[in-house]
Amino acid sequence: MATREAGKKMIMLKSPDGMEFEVEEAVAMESQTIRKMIEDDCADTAILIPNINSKILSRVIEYCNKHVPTTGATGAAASDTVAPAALAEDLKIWDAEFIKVNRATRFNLIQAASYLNIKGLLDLTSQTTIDTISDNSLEEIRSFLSTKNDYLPEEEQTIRRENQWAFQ
Amino acid sequence: MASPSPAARAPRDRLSDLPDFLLGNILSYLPTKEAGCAAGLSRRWRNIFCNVHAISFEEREGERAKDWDTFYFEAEERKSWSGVILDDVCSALLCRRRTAGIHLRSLDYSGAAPAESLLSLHGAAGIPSCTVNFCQAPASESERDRFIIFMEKISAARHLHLHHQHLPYSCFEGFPSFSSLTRLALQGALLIPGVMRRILEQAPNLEILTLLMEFAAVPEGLAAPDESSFSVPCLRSRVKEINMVHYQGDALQRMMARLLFRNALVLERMCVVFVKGPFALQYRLKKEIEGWMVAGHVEKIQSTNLLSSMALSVEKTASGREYKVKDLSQADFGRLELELAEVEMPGLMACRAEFGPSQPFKGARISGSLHMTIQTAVLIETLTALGAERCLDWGAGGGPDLIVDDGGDATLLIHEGVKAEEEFERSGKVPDPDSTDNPEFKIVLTIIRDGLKTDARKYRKMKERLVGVSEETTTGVKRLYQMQESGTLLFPAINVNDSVTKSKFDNLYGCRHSLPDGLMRATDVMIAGKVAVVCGYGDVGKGCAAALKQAGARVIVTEIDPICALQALMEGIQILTLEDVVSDADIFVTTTGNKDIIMVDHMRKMKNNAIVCNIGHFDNEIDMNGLETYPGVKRITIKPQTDRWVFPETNTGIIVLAEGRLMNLGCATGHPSFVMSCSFTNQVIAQLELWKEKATGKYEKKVYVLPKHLDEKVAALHLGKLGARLTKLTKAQSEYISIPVDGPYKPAAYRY
Repeated sequence: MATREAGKKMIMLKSPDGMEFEVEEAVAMESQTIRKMIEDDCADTAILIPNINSKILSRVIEYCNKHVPTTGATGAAASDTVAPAALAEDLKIWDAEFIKVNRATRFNLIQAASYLNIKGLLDLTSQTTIDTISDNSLEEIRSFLSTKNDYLPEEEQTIRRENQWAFQ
Repeated sequence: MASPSPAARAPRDRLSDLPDFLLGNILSYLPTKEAGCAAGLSRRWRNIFCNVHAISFEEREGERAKDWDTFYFEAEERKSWSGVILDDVCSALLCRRRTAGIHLRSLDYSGAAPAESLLSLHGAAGIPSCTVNFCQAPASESERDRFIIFMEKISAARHLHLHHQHLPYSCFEGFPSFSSLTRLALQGALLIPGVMRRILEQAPNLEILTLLMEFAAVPEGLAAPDESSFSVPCLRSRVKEINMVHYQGDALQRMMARLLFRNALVLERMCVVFVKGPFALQYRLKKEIEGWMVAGHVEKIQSTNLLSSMALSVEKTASGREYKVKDLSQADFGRLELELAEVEMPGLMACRAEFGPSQPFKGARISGSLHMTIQTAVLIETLTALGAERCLDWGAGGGPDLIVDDGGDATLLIHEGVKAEEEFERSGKVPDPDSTDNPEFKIVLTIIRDGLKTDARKYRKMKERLVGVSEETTTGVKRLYQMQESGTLLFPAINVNDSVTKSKFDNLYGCRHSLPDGLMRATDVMIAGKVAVVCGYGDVGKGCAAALKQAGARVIVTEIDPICALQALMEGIQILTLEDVVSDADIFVTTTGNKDIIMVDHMRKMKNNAIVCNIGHFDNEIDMNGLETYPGVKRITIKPQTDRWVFPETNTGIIVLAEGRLMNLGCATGHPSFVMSCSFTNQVIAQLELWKEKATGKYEKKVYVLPKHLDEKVAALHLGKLGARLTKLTKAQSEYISIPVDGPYKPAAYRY
């Protein structure tokens, strides 16, 4: 990152456990939350990202780095050789590889994506979560989520009746 | 992708710890039905669905085919209404609302018996108000069952409007119980009694029943059930209002009306709206219905209630003249207004109480020409209550026996009619409406001209029949005296205007109330501080000047009569001519009863936005003709009855109220009830007097005033309402001034 040519503004992001990440402004601005701070001129020095540890934050930055619009010198070179559709396909494969993480990390990524307001990352994490539970019975999902069925039997009947449209 | 691991080995997933909106976001990636299922997981997930922000359904091939078969011929937009996918979307949307804690307050469903998916979504929660329209007959047994299930779903409704046009009677066999239902409207061809009873039995708390009957053939061979079999609980103890709309009196409708009214023991209100038809038929139907109503329990219904709702639907009278009511829905409001006015009209109500039982007008046809106000309606109902056969209707065969006149128009019509008929007989000449500029007189001449073609003796027959007229305006009375002078008066007339309780009250206090009322409603102008010119200082002018003065205006009066002028001066009001003040004043009121008071040349010289109005008699007090034909003048209608007229030279304008007609009637609601009660009580007493003496020859073809004691009686009738207590003469006092203890207290010439 330090080899970036001069003229590109850099932003310092700090995790609560003390790690600092210097990123290009354009990359940081993939996060709508950070973009807002920058636009409001609250980003002169380092920006502290609360609740997101360095491990997760580094993954988030990795994601943003990949997804930042490929404009400028490097982007031009890439688009000369690769068609946009192929690029998108490429990105998809990258994403699929990126999200191959354990459930705890994925949970943290959802929270981080939500807090930092990165739509692409939220989509990716939510969709992956759904993929893991979809097409299973309620019982299977419950055990997957380690959730207990805490409805009383008659309550459960009411729920079924109220939502019959979904259950048929 | 990843399959769930067995519960024992799985680390606890923290997904459920995420906030609702994130869970909703995650569920949005599922097909909507699966997202809906999440509620079944645990309490944590019960209402997450309200955060789902996307709807996704899959339509399988062939699901839509049925729609086309079913609905294509009906109406284009209906063809998709039963589409499975749309039902699903609706279900999901409604569910989303419900999980957010918003319950449905009303349901308006139109379509076929709904699919199961739509049936299921309301759960047990009752929807208070439902409108249901099944637009086609159920095609199968299962569809019929779905109808019953649907009705069960909404059976907690308090209001139900059911369009049952396409439902076969068999649909009602399993009609569920609607225990909370208070208001039921059934729309469609009238149901047979068996079905109606079934429905009523299932609605034990029903209070208001409305039948909107659409035209249909009466089923043949229908046996009338026994009346007692229709005695269902809600009719016995609950139903207080029954409405029947489009009543045309066929066998089934009459059967149903009889069964309902005979058994409605606690009925308080009813309304039957008839279809267009001959008056005589409707009258018979009305009488029949009145006969069915259970005696002793219907006293709260005023027979006039029925009469008025009926009269409103009549669009052609027996004599063939047509009229229309613009807005029938105002009828209830009108009745409320009437009830309000009755309390404020103690004189008329006292007449009803005193003379009502003896029905003195029995057999009398009374007609009239009056301003159509609420107070006039109370007068009409009073005359009817006293036994008059027909009011405000010339009727067939000879016309009215008595005329109540306000402005002398009816009297004028008959006099001009007789004159024209005689002229026509002599020379064959027909009156020419174009011979006059006065629009009202033009109408009179047109009516006469058209009448000559059908019956050349119409007005002479009318004259023969007529017992007399009572006239209540200054102008009308003046015309009567002129006819008496010239010997052309055709029948006796009573001058009600010069009763003290008329001209010294209606003209004076009535205008004192209604002039500012009209001014404010039309323009909302502040009267205080303005210069107001009142043309004329008679009774009306006195009232107007007093009102304007009290409101804070600087009043100037124009007069021709030195006595009236001096009266104004004694009140501290300046007397000038219109020319003196025309360019300084802000408000101009004409009260003279004469013509050409404010001419267009005056108006041209007025200040910008000066208000010009008339409360005298005719619209010719203001030169409307001159104004309308003024070259280049521009009329801007601010609102009905309020126009701004802009003159081209100065580009300034004046505001004319009610097009120069009576502004208190045009811009406000005329005189208040109480003062009209004084005037109309005089009218009723005059009419009674004329009718009572019709055979005795007491009244010749002259103008009479009511005797003093009757005048005093009218006043006395109005004292109680205002809490007044009269002092009584002692015998000694009575002898000392030679006045009887019970009056009359003043000589005839006393001026009050």
